[in-house]
Amino acid sequence: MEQKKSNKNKWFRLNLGSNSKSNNCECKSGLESCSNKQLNDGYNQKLNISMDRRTAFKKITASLLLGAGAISTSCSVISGDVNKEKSEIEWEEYFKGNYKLMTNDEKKETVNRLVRSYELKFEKKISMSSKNANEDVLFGYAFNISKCQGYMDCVNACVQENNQDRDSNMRYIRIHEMEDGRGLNFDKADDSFGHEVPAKGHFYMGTQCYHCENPPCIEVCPVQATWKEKDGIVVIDYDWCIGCRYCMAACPYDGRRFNWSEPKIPEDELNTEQHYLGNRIRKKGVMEKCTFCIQRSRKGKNPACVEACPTGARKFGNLLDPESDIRWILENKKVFRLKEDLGTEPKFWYYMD
Amino acid sequence: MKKFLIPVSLTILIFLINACGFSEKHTSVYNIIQEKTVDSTLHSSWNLLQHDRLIKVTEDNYPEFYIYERKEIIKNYKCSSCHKEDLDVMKAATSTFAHSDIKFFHTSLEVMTCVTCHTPDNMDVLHSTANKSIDFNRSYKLCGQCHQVQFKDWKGGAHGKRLGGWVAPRVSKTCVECHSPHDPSFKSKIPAYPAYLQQKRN
Amino acid sequence: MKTLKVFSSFVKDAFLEVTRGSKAYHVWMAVLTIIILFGLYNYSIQLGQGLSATGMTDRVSWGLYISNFTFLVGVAAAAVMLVLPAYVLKNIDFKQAVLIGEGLAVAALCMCLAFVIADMGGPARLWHMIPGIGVFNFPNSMLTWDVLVLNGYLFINITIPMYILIMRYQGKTPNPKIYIPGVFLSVFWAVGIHMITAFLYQGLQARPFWNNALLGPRFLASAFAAGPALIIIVLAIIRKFSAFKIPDKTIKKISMIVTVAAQINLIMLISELFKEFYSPTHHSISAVYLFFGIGDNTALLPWIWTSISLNVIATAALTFHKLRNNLNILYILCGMLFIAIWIEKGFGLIVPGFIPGPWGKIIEYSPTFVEISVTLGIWAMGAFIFTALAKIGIAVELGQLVYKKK
Repeated sequence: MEQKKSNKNKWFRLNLGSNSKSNNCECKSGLESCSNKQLNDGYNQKLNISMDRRTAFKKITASLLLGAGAISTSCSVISGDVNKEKSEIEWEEYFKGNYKLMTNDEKKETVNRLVRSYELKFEKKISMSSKNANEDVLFGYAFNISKCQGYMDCVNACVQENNQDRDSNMRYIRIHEMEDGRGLNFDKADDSFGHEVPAKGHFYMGTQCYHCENPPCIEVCPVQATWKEKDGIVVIDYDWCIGCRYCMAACPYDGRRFNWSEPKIPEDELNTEQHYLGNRIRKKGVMEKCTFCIQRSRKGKNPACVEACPTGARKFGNLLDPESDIRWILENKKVFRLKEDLGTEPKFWYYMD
Repeated sequence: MKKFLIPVSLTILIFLINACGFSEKHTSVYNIIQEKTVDSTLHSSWNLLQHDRLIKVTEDNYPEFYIYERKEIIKNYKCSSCHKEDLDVMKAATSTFAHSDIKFFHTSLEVMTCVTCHTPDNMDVLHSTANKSIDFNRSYKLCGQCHQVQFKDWKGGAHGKRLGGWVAPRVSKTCVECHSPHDPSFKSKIPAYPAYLQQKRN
Repeated sequence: MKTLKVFSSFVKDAFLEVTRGSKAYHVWMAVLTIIILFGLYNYSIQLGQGLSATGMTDRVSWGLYISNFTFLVGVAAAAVMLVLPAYVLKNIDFKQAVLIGEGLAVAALCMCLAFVIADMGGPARLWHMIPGIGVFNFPNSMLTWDVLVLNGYLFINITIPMYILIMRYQGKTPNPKIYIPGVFLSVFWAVGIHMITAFLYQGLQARPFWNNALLGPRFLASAFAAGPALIIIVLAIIRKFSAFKIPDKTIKKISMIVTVAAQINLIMLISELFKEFYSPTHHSISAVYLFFGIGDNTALLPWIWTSISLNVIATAALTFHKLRNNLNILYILCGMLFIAIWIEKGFGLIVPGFIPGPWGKIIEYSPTFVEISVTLGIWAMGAFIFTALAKIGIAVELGQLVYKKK
């Protein structure tokens, strides 16, 4: 019985019995079925060899090592040092964790890897910062509707500063041209106009991510790839985002943009002053948005849009500083926010002269 | 059925406790500002400003701020280098009208002429409606006479263009750096964004 | 060791069962395989090009994939409606339908998971969701709740029928003490999965078309109409093509469920229409776009009006005993209802939620060839899985698949 079983089920089993006893028939009676004969086919000669566990493990490990060695030598023989370093960096970048949970050292490491990876690919040096939020800062933004003339210098500056994809006309800022006499009528507004501005009988209003204090977008992200930093900026870790676009559905202000294809920036227009959470190069399938130019604002500079506006319609500053212009505006001008009833607490106010 | 009572009610209890955490999320920005206002310790150590050109502006009830001085960069200053004599004498002496390139589009000649602001017998200074002299560096005082609302907003920071960054000290452009006093309005132009793309494609 | 032996024997026998069959069966599976492979090919195009290969844009960022996902969660939830009477109320008539129903639930859930993965911008980074290794934003994100409940439901719907089948396979009676608690759990869980999927949309204050209290209950009502409707059609096919006996009584009882659920669904539709159109606010504009179009933007009109007509006709017809009890007419009505609800929960719910955009911009959505091929591929995959599971289940029930002790 036992013999038949072992012959029939042999392709399931690697006979790791400890000694040659298993080949002996256990039964004591002189039945023919208990004969000690085994079929001496090729299977039994090569594959059904009985050996002790130790020998088996030795042989298995040896072949595994040989195989691994073969793979690694073949890899390093075929590809040069540059490719090796590139794939090493890609490997480490793929398996790193969420930026929000990294220590400062880990942040610096990933920034160094990204800088090095760009250097290897394009032979160009970029500088990337992982600077954390400054203490006692909460950024706020104000927009003067009376001053905006629709020049779109802000859109232009933003696209260049933040290395946005040119092919898909990606722009964080939208300037809406509205007809006079209809109030803030977004439904009939035009946000892609090319005629001379300001057009008679119209006024202009800009929208972008409002960096809400109670953002609906960060609640819905399944992997916490987007969060609100201590200085109030809502940021995205582009390498952690899985591209589900739930945050885009949740934003009431059209603040978020998705990379439906690989973003392309012309070589000579690349802004090399970058921040990990800001204007570094993104890839397809991830979300991006206005970051209040985190690479600039954490160094005391104004965001590119504020800097570029020729009429001074855009104001930016620290809400916690009682002497800042943004505080003066909140306290002395008639300010309002959009879609206030949704409870998102945006940090972007509008006012008029 | 009874044996499900305890696990089910426990689950509901846990849900409720978790749900209470949801309510604390709604914080108004105005409350945060009130609770957390700090004296700004951040000062511009980031070299965004030309510190040697700063002039302080201190007006009652407004936080102090700075402007850049102008006299060094006005092309034809000092005016007295040409205006050595009385205006009538100079007019008679030449056939051409100097400063003929200046087009005047600032309300009408019924309201303002050259001498509304410029002092004919001392061309290196300006003067107010009460004939008090005003330095060229402080030309904003002239504009503020008529444009009271904009002046207040400018002093507070709601009007005008800020230079440097968002960190203290605040440095603003003066009125004339955006609005030419002879033709102050902003001009119309083609928007920068689509035009930039068009330019690139051509 | 013995369970492992039985299990591996069951897997082997099941595999053999699935690869055997009539000519019609083989043709069916071959056609499905071709559609699946073509879908996979187009998915590879999408992976290479990015999601710009689909018709989705920044304005309408969820389209055909998520529409189908939403609909199929409902189908999966409804399959379990048959489970309760069969096991708990000991209604013998339902017993045959149950295994089919649970097979349908598994197939629908696999399709849901496939649609979600197809819709992802970065599927290689999905491991970021695994708690411990990645970051799992529970309990804040409804998506994480959905991941938990859907996978839990899949687990329950695989293990309970597997237990029953393996018991029957060995000729033993399944022990009620083991499967009844599981069955109970799966019934409540079914309601849970669909409410939570509804909450994904219901919780977004940015989208007023979805942000109303009726969305969750509406989902349940339409699911319990569409799911059993599909089960009736499937049972009809099984009756025709296999030796599995399903009495008319069973089908007629399921049709009662479909009728009541369809009527409730219609009442909810009327309630929604009233709210949007009696005193229209700015928030009603998505409904205006859906039902009447705005200006030249009328792409969804043929879809929604087909859906409503089919829905009303089918529901009205099903109310009459004479029509409902005539099985041939019943199959047609069920088909109409299934299509109507597929449209209503897909293009009639997901797409109009995004139109107009937050600043009133209207950019219409139409799926691309890549998107449609991938969708068809996933439906074919679902049909394939279901056919295989049904074949195994029927073979065990008919006593054709028996564990032979060696």
